[in-house]
Amino acid sequence: MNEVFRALADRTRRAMLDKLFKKQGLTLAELCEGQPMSRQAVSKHLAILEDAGLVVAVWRGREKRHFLNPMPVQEISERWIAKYAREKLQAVSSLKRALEETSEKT
Amino acid sequence: MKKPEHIYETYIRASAESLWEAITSAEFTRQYWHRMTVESDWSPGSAVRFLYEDGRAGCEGKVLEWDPPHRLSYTWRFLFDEELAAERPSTVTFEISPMGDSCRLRVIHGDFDEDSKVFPMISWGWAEVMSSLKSLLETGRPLDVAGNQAPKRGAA
Repeated sequence: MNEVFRALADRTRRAMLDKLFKKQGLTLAELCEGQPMSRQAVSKHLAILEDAGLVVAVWRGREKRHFLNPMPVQEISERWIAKYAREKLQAVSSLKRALEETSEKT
Repeated sequence: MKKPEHIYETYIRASAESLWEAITSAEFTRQYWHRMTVESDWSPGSAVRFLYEDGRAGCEGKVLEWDPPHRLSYTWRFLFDEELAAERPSTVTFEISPMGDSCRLRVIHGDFDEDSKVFPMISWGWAEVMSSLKSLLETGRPLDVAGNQAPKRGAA
């Protein structure tokens, strides 16, 4: 998970993920479009995203296409977010129980 | 012309054989896959159906490729909504590659039309299903998401 956070700790790389979220399967050339960076710089960022599993590159014919892989983010969500959501649900259900008990008494 | 596709990749600490069983046996799928059971005789050309507990089919397709325990491919059509069911079927492919004591599981859901309504809808769904599968195989318990827990009747 360290690699994922490290990869996400960069605005350029997050912007690249946003771009892939909008349109999956972009080539390196397409990812470079509109970027004030060299092709080498983009490709270096891409390698970091791939190492973290956030981007998966596959060959389609003669083109290498890049896909946003949501699995690492899903794991972060389970590790850091789902447990808070569960506590919230538990809070709601204990509130419900408490209210029902109160209304039974009145 | 490139067609829209999604690719998901995760590493699961399990053998290729158990992973294969998990994606092809009803006993397994109902534990982690929105409580749906998969049904097929798995010969190429045969029907694949995903059934809810009440017997209704949520998705259906046809087997395209059956190469245990490496590669499984079938067509995919959602049935729970008329508009989605009317779309041309897409293709789901599972690729299992052993890596040390784990396997890389790659799911490719592609062959969508450019204006597909299903395409944008499924992205997070697969992430939950695959993550729940990973949890089931590694810890013996599916995740608390993707409708895997029995519905709590009468509660909230």
